[in-house]
Amino acid sequence: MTQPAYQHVICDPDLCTGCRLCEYVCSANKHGVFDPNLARIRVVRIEPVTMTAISCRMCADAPCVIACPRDALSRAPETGVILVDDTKCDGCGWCVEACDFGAIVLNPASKTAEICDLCADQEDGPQCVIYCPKEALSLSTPEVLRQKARRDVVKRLFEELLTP
Amino acid sequence: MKLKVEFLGLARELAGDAEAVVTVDDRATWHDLISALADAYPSFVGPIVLPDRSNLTAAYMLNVGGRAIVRDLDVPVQPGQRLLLMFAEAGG
Amino acid sequence: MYAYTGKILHVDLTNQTTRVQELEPEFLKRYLGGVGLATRLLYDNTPAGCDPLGPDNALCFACSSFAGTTIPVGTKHGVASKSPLTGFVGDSLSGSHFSEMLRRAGWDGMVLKGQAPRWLYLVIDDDLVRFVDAQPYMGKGAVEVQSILREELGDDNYRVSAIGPAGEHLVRFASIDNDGRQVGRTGNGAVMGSKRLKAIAIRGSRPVTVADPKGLMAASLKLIKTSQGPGTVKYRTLGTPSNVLNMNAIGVLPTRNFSETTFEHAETISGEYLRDHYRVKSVSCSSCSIACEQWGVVRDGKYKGAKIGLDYEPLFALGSNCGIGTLPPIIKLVEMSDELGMDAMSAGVVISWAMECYERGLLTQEDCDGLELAFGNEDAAIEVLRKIAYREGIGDLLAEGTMRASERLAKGSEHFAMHVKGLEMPGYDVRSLKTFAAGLAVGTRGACHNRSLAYELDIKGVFDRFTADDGRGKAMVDNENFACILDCLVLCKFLRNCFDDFGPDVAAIYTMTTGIFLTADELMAVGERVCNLKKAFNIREGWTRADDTLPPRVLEDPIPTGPSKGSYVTREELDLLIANYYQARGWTADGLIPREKLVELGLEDIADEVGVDTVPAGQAI
Repeated sequence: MTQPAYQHVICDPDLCTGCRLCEYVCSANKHGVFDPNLARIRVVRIEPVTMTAISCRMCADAPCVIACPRDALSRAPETGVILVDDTKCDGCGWCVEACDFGAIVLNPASKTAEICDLCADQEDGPQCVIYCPKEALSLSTPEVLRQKARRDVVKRLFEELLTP
Repeated sequence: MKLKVEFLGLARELAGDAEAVVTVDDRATWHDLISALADAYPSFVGPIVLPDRSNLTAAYMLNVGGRAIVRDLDVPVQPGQRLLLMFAEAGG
Repeated sequence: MYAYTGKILHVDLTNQTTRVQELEPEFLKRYLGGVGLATRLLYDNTPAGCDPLGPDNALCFACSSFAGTTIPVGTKHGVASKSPLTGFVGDSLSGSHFSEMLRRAGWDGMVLKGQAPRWLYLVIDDDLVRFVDAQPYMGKGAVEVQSILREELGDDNYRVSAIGPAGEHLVRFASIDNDGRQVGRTGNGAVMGSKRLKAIAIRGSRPVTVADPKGLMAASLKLIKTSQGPGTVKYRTLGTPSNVLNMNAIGVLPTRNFSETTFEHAETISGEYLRDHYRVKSVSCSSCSIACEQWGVVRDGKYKGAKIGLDYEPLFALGSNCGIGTLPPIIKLVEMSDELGMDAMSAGVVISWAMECYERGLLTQEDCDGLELAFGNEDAAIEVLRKIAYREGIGDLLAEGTMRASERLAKGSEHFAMHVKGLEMPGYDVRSLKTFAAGLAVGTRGACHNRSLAYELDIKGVFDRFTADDGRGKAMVDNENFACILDCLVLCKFLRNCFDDFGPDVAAIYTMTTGIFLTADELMAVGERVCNLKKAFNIREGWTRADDTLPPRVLEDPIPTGPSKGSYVTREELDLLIANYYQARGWTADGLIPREKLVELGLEDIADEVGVDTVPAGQAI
């Protein structure tokens, strides 16, 4: 395998109820305050029942890393998380624009970019996953997601065949 | 004796049916009925019946005739009554 | 001070000016937030005897203590004004993100007074308040206008509270909508409309800081996990619509304007049926780990595309109570109520009253603008609901609420006008729930199940629901005080079974959040204090013992069929229960508050105004 399969936080939109606890948890964990503007995971709710949570997807050839004019962003090879070098980052926001998922936070106080690091500082991993009441959030890789999708579609196919 | 129990809410979903006929000993108590229900519907154990089968969970109650709630489980069940397994919570 | 900002925003809509009121921690601790703080702001800012729809009525908002934190279902807000339905305290609650934004904009609450010369909406950006012309948005739905304003203002972070056409036309039971949740009961939307205020858009940039973030996070996680257990199973599986079959089974489901208590079509309007045929998913209010709201969508037929988060109360009111026995028209009616911006409960009950009038010939087809307003006629119900919002034809009468409409029509229709103090009854026929019947009668905001909680005493069998005795007052008071504490904190009532030891657990959470030391006893005292404050407001507005009563139907007509057949509440039973309740409250036999009681509760500043110098009921002279 040339490209390691990095895990990222995924949200099952069928399970997400739009409570936004993940946003509060993220900001509290990272900054000790409750502030969704500082959360590296955000819930998008297209009223009233369409909703999901979005955080860094650990893209291959991450556009944010490529876009950064100061080489402040790099990928941690083992985990795939995007590291921000605070000494280089000047908060220009190119990475924010480059991200297709709106997953990068520009901290208004420190003027640096902040990206989901899977709670590298926590022994039990991403806190949003632990706090999510509906287990809508989980850690997964694109390959695992593909497998799940294939299983689901076959299950549905057989359900239809077996239902009179 | 055979007792018909109507299921409401989660009980109906777990049982896959709106009612069931449960056979119990003629001298059966409410406690025996709860055990019989748990035997017939193992999925009730946990959300509706306590794991040790000693009682219903706080979320559920047995109602008799739409009028009385079963409180003393050691009392024998009388045949011919309408029995309802329903949520105890009534908040709207 | 943590979490709290210690600041109340006062807005004068007449002159379009603002001022800031500072609050001390000691004051906040006495009222907590939500309904408690909103009621205190109302008491202090509304002159006695004012017109509820006039400029002097203060429309007061207050955040929950836990707004914007991880405490599950702790992000709600309370609203209070003098109710245009009851003329008494009109306190109401809503879930969702508005409370978080109010807090993050730097406010513990808002007091809105006056009347704008033309229609406006408010834009609050932290401490910057703008008054903006609302003319382009007039007539827009209470829900749709929120997205429109977010779009106009160019930021998804704005949270909006808005009124719909019903609020604009001063329908007395108009609601205020935020994020599809409503400050529903008692007509706060009409008060907002009387101020010519279409909407309030808030954006806050401040983080919420708490005294003990780690402790609060741990407590939150515990509650989040507990709230996936048996204490909330009903709310998580079918939500409140599961009540339909429960209430039908025990013979308390209001049917055809509370004339019957079982409904032949209960199955097809049940939570179970909703889940199997229309439900798409359950959704949450802000920070809620339970997610009780069951969204149903109609996929085909005449009501194709109608969708709503359906709860039991709107479902009973516009369903069984109007004799409507299928879900699609009910989903349509509740969706319309929300978008038109009115309380679906009051709307359903006033329509069912009109339907009974029609069937009895007290309202003719001509009176009803040509509509055949018979029970079960869903087309007529839909049309009359729309007419209410715009006060067209028969809608103008019904927009006044059941009490006023029945007084105006008279002809004996008062007998089956199902309200207490002007607020329409909730979805429990109380003729066989006698403790709860008294609980509704003494309710300070009128017939409200959420303020009383006494239905639990009857339905769970704590008391025999078919009889009355003088041993129930204390339990009624305890339930009412407990409900009030939740309304002040604010914590959603659906979380009420998730604590090991409510008083100490919640007092600790409050202290971790605010940094204000609160004991369990002090917490529990808030419930009694605020219940008395609401009563004090009513006394100041001229409340008398005669206001604590029930509709004649409850007191005279035995239930005709079903498991509760034959039951009704006699006047003697009601008087007994009420006397017992007053006694347990430490009030006089006339239901007034002794001055010493107010002093004891820390309400000495209002003791002169409303307290009486007398011996409490039950104490020998």
